[in-house]
Amino acid sequence: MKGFPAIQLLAYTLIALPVLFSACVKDNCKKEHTYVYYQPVFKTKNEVRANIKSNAPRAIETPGKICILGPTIFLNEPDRGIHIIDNTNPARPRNIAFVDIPGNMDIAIKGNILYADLFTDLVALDISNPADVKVKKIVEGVFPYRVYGNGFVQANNQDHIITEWVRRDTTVTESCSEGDVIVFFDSNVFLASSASGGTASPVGKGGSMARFTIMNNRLYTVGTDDLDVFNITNAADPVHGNRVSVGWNIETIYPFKNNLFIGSQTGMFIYNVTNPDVPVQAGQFSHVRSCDPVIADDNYAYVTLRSGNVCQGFTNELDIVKLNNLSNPALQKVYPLTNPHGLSKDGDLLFICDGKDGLKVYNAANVMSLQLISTIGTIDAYDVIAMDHIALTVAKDGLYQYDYSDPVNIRLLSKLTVAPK
Amino acid sequence: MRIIILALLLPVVAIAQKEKNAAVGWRVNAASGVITGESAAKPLYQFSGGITYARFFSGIGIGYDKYRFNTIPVFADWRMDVDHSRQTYLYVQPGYGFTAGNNPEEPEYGRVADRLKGGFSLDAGIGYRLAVGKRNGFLLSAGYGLKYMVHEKTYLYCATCDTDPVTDTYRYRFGRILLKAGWEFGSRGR
Repeated sequence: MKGFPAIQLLAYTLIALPVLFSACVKDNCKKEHTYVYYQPVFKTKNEVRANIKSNAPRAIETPGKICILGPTIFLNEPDRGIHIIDNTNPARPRNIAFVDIPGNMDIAIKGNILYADLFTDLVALDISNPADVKVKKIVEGVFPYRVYGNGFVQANNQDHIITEWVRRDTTVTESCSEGDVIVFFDSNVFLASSASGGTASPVGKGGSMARFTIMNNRLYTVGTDDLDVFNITNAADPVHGNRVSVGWNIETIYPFKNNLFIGSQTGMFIYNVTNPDVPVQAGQFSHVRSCDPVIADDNYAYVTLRSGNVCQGFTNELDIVKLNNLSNPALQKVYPLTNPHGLSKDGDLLFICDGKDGLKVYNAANVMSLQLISTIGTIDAYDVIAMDHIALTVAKDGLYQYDYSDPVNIRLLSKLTVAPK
Repeated sequence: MRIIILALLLPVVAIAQKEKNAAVGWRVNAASGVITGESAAKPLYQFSGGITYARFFSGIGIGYDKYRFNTIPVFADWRMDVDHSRQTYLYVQPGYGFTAGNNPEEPEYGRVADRLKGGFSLDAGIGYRLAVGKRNGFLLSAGYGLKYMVHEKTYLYCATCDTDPVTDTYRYRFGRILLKAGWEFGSRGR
């Protein structure tokens, strides 16, 4: 370094650095935008309708609403169709067929006819032979609120129906300087509860989370804000009748003695159907914003309020409402719960699905002092139908059947396990 | 830890094999400086220590780098004197910058998680040493540096719905010029 002092070298370096590295002196940024979208799979109406029949049984992926007809369980797989389960031996139920009904969320049964929604349409199916289910009638466009989601609406494409949504995990890389966050909404297609339920019919029984129910030769369905009436005097030929505006955020419907108990996120409505074609509001019980499946007996309505997700609110409880004056139902007692969903009553036994706390069984002989008899705490239960000493329970991981002949020692009879997705 | 120390010594030992009559010494360095780049200039602080052998120094160091995001770089510090008077040296400091002390961003609609992750860092350049007595020296250096960072933000645009999150991952590479002034203290290998 003789003749070229180090300090001079450093000085030159200081001058040279910005020049030499000018292209490298930069704040580079790459943005990876990772999101999920669901791509619709379309089929023509003819293809869809041709496939509404007893197809090969499928594994249960998401247990939905349930309806029991004699020894047969009809279990809805939300948006996909209906599992037909031979329950002749409750200890060994057999999944025997699957009826493909895209967009199906609710079911109800009268005699040998099963009613199901197919997005905006109502389908009447002959189920006299569960192994050979046939379409009897399709009533089009009666559930206009049933949009597909993701901006897709049936009206956009009348000839095609979305049969499923394929999940796509996607990552897009872009320069950070190209703009800020692009809002991609993830698409859970239907935000409505995919919990279970069902409906009562002359020979069938459903749960407390149903949106379809049958009474007096009428099929009553609730949408987000309407109550629709279908005349099913001729079961195979449902005829759409009145539509009654009920309120907002309607969730469930439960029939009892000429009255329909309609659960909404803000209260319970009682509609009298003495004239079956013209439901008339008889009373209303308001509560805080929450989801509220409801059942009723001669004297009381049992309303479970829960918070979370679509339900919002912070209330988790069982409200017992006295019905001696239907025009003015009065709150009698409140029981705190964890996250109650569906419920069922058989005699003095009250069954409540309390979310992750499992299925709770109470002695409800005295509603002012419910006695917890037993808890099946190992399941995440969300609806139950209790009849003939068997509690058919829909949980996240499967369809359970419990023998409650001895309510203190409830015994698991069987479980149909949900298949991993 | 022993593996790291051996790895740090390896270049010194390997290169110094050619040096005859060399002796091992030790040295610590403290420096502060400024980082300039496309964004506003920010301060930098460093401290390192290691061994010297002939013309070589190998050590480990830790610093505080406030450019764009605050990071604590932990680095290897390799230096080589390039002239016989030992005034001029080249250095390279590869390491990993850990994030530290960054203020959370302003709330954004739907954002449910906000994570900063550190990454590779590098500083390489040339320095000038002004000896002060036998054991001390005043240091000036200039170099080019890289700093990698990852900023990950997760959004749930509908908190009450059962929806999948959306994640934005920002991968940064900052190319900067680092100007440092410092002080060294220690013994020098012959």
